[in-house]
Amino acid sequence: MMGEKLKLLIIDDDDKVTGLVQRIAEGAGYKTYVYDRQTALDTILASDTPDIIFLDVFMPNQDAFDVMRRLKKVGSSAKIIVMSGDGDFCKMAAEYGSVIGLDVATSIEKPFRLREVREALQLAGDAVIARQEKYYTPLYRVKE
Amino acid sequence: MPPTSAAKAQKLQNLVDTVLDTIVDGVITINEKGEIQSYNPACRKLFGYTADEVIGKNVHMLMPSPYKENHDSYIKNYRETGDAKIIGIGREVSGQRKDGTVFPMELAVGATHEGGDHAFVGIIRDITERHLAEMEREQLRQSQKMEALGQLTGGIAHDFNNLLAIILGNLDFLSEEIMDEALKESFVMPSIEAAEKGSELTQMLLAFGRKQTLRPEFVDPNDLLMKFIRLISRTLEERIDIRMSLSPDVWPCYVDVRQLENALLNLALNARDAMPKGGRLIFETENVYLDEDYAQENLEVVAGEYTMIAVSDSGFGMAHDVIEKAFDPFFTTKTVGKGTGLGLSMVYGFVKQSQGHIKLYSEPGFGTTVKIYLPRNMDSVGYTAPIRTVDPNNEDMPRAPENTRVLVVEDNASVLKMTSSMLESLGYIVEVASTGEQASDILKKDDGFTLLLTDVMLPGAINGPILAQEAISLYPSIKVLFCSGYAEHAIFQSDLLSEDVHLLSKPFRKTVLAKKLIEVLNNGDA
Repeated sequence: MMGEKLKLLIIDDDDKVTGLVQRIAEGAGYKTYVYDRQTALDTILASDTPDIIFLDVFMPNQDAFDVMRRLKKVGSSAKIIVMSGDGDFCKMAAEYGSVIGLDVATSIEKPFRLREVREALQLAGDAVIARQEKYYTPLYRVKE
Repeated sequence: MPPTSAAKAQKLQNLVDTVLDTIVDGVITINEKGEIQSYNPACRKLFGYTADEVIGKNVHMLMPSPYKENHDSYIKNYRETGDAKIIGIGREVSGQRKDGTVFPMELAVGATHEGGDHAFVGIIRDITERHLAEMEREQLRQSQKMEALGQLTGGIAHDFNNLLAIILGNLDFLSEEIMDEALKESFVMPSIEAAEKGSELTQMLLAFGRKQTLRPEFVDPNDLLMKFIRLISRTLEERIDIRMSLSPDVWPCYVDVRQLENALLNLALNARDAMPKGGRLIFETENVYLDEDYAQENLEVVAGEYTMIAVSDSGFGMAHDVIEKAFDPFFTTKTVGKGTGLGLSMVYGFVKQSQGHIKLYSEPGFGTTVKIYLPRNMDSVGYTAPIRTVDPNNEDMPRAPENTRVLVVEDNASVLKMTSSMLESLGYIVEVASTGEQASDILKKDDGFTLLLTDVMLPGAINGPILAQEAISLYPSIKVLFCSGYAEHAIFQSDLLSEDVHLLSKPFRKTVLAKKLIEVLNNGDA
């Protein structure tokens, strides 16, 4: 279908969680990269525009609300999947992101199962592809 | 010199009289029969009797039971044995006023001998105020304790959920990778089950910490109770007699139905366990007004209208110290392995997170009543039940400008129904959709809408804000009003003031909706 792999940015302070999400996403055919918390988020977003962002709500120094404000500032159009071990905040972060004009796809509560993450990725990925096709409708498409 | 000593005695008597008349504490003297000999003006204020009404009468008239009945024996005992139980020591007892009311008092008693006869002096201080202050301190301590425990358990649950996410995720991978079914069955599956159990536990901790995800909707509590009772009557033994006392015009609640059922189940099972030999289990509903006095006695309670759901049993009840800890996580009176100690904690957290109030009444030997109060969040529109009280805000509700058509988008059926009923009763012409996709289709075909009222989060690919963008690109003059359960949260409040977004906090009363709509229609250019 699409020539290029969709890009997924993972933002979580726990390496084991990011590793897990990376593994799931790469298995589903995504190109993944992890926010290392060393480089400024803006720089990362500018150098490589993600199609989908996996975002943890609670992180030291910078929580999901801060990150979403940055995303809004730089005009990110990425699909966002919010995740947290705190259900209420998870839902709130998703609503917050939507209200400020970000494209929040869904929220996932931790602990999650592989199936849930795969489904969420599938839905978000489909939406990204549909959007791309809408904007760059090719005259004809070469079947892979 | 006798005249001089008589004058001295008179002078002393005058001084004593002045002291007794002036002193703020009550002073009573009695003889050894218990008859009142003197009664100072402060006593009159305390007890409401005049001196004439009490002089010569037995002092037990100023006491409530059981002091009243036992007082004569106290004096007798002292005379015979010299055993001074109270004399010389201050003690907290109760006094009874002329009007029958009882008040806490501090009593100090002194004894004198006059030619072999005993006489007693009682100094009385009203400590009602002090008791109230102590109660308030105790209340504050209790609510601070619950707050701290909630934060602690909520925090632990969050961290554990992160760990469980890693454990469960990797176990899921393992179970996909391992081809040997026997190996999987004996090593991976038990681990997954244990991790899932752990996840259930953290869910309860989150519930207590008021941090679980709630999906509130409008529900008729009577309906819910009747269905619930049908369900549990099959589970509970026959020796438990289930009764209902449902107020016919009870206000609907805006609450997470699954969690409310869960809470009721917890209470019903506790009631069953408190009645091993059988008994009565009573469910009640009622509209109540918790007034300022109640709110003062119960910190955290906001005075106002509530729907009350009560679950009572005729079981063995709880002692005071058990009641105090009943909501604490991991506190249980059940034998080890029988209860998690999280049942009532979950109920507590759920009710608090739903802006409600929960109160436990119990008497050892008589039973327990748990009352859940859920705030009256909405008006009766859309429900056939008549409402006794008249909504005071009804008059100043602005009605719809002529021919104002509104598209309402909301995925929860009960909320959608409620909202459209409110809008119609205000004179709006209403069209509804339950998903973003459905709403988008309607908007494409119909160009007659003045306003879009949509939930922020909607299932599917089109959420509220995306839908709004679509609507505005189709019809630039259309007004948009979002609703969100978090609209009043500090994060939303602080950030969105600068944004050109109209946000309505869910759940809303009709009057709030009416005013907000006019505001958006008049100057909102979103």
